[in-house]
Amino acid sequence: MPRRIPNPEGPLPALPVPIPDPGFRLPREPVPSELRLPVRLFRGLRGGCYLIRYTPAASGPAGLHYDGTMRVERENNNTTASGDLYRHGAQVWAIPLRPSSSGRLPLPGNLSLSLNREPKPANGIPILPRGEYRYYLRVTQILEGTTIANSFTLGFDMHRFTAATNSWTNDGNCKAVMTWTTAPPGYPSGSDYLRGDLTDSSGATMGTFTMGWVSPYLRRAVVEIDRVGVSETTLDNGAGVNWRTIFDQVGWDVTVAQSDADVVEPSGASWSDAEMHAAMLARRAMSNLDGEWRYHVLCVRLIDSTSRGIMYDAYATDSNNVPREGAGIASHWTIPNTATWGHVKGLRFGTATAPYFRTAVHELGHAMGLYHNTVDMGVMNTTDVIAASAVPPTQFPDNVKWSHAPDDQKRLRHMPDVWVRPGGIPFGNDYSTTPISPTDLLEEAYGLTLEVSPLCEIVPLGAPVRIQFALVNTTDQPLPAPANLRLRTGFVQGKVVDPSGTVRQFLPLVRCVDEQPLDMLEPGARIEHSATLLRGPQGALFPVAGPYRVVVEVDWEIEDVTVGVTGETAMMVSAPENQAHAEAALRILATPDALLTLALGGDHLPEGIAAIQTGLDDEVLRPHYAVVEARRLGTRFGTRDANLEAAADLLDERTVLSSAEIASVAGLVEASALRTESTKRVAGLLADKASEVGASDEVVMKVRAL
Amino acid sequence: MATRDLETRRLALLGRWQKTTTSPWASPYPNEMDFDERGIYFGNPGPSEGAFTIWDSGGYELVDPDHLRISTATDEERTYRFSVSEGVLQVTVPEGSVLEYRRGP
Repeated sequence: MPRRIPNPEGPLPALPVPIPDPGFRLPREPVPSELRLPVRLFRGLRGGCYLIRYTPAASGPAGLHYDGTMRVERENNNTTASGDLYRHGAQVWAIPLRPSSSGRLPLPGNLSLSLNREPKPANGIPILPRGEYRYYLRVTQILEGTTIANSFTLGFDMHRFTAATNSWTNDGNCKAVMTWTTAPPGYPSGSDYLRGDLTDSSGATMGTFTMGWVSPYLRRAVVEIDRVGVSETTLDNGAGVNWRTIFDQVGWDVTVAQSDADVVEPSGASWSDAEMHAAMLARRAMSNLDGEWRYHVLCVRLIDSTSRGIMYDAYATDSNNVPREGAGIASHWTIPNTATWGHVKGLRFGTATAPYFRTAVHELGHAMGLYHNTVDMGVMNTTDVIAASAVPPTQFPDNVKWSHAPDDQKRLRHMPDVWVRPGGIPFGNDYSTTPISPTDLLEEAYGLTLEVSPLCEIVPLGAPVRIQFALVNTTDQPLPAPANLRLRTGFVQGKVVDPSGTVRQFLPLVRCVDEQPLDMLEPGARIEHSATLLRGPQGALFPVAGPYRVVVEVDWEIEDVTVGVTGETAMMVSAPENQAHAEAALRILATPDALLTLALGGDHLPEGIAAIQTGLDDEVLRPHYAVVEARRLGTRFGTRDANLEAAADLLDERTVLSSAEIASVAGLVEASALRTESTKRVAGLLADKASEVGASDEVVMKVRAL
Repeated sequence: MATRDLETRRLALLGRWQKTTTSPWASPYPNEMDFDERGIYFGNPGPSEGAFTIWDSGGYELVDPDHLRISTATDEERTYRFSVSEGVLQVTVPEGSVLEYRRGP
């Protein structure tokens, strides 16, 4: 399975959700026409659910084809996708029959046949009949970021499902060059529709494959809640987290149906599993699991088999032999009156809103095919473990994490339909028996390593962090690699992990219009660059003092396969040295335009310029911002001429300069005919700095030529 | 006296246990069990990644000196007869057989 280079310190914490799609942000203020950024149409695959159809070339007169869904999860430049196919065969009747209004044909006795209508894209995510389930599509190749082309290669393994044994057979890898085309009528987005010819591993055409976007969600379901009169319903945790917020995080469009509040107790306060199952069958508002993914929650006083809650029909051994339809929770269990139970000790469970709701979500997690998961205090950990794991002064349930663990999130998004949908595969099979798409379709670049280091290991709060990186060919043969590692080439991005473990990303603010070339990197050769980091899509990258990890990723494509290499380093942000420094840092960190001014320069972002000026005015931060302002002043903007003298005055021995910034300032001096004492001094300063930071030969030569 | 027996048994149960029963009927039970002081346990299914096991994690308590209640993978709480002697934990499971664990490292 393709993978990223292992991180020696273990997996990174989960990324914030949602993460905005990549794309560049243009300045808010009008930009003089001669300075406008070149805009190019980058196509990206829209995240969400696609209605897909595979029509075999030899579909025959019955018009056999397969309908289904493909779930496309976008996380910046990474895409994870999976799909499911259900057989759709047109029925051939010897005698014309007229269907009833329900779409079902009247047949003798108890028999009936569904007409199996085509799913309507306007209805959003289609729900297809379980009996027609045939294939899981384990997507192994898809458009990762954006493309200037009108097509990309989609690749997937087709895993055939055998219902009798709940087993899977990999029928092989297929590929299709998917081309954007106008969607047929009925699709919610005319421009998010693609078509391609599917070929098998030998290149033989199998048929046609289409995919049209129908929803920003990946899956949809209904949660129906019934209860006995004295049991509380369970809609949220009492602090703003509800069913929708939990499931929005995994791309499930969940509708909650509060239904009956008068379920009668069949044999006293405590219910057996069979009694709860019977009540579900009797009181459930809708029971066609082939038309809706409906999970049922029954709130009762007590449960025979457990204290808090249970997903009672795990194994399809109950009266209707349908697994994973519903769960029960016990409102009248008394929480032990011990310190372990923190804020809710001694309470009746139904009045302990947060853990009561958590148990309902947990039990439905089992109904969705999830097992216990102790990697964090999330939904599928057990209440016992979470309560016992609270570390004072935090008390249970304050330590509950109101989301699924990352691996469970992936399962909810990408396990086969029959694993997660109610009435599918019984509970209790090994996860490993079921296919699932790889998370990261990035192939590790053979023979290349990425060396990453901070220009300054300790940086004051509020200063930009300058990171140097070098791609090195460690083999004895030339290898293809990006010719340039500037951020704007689109090859480079990364993550910053703050002292609390929160991950923030950094991305190119702008991208070059031209196709970025690859080059052959000679054995032992290296290609270097540096980046000045301040903000990312999730805000300031270094918002508090403490130790940070900076991960740099370089990705590129070779023959439709994305390959890449990752490196990381550690650095420290120091606490404010005085009140003035603290105030300056706060202003810079709170000003989004500071990054735009830092990256783009120009006079059009007054807030950004003011924030940078705040940095210049502060004694601690000035060395870190001097070159930012120097580059701005040294570059012509609109009718304002470049002022190299003013720029030179800002730079001195204390100025912090990365190799890229040295090259940039050298370029300004080079472009100017002006040779004064100041520019001569700057040339000398740049030479010293180039030596100090170990700049590449190319940069050193450029500085020497001044 | 009964309370003291219960506490003695509880202390005898604490720690890590490794499954020694190799019969096929024992395969749904974890290869390793770890009972901790807080009244929770963790079951390690074994080398196969993503394997399902009946005792995966949750709470446990001694109902009496001979019976152990364990919260299972479905959240059902099941009570089992058990004994601990000379570093061997024996649990009588619904399959009617005695599942055996030896004290682990």
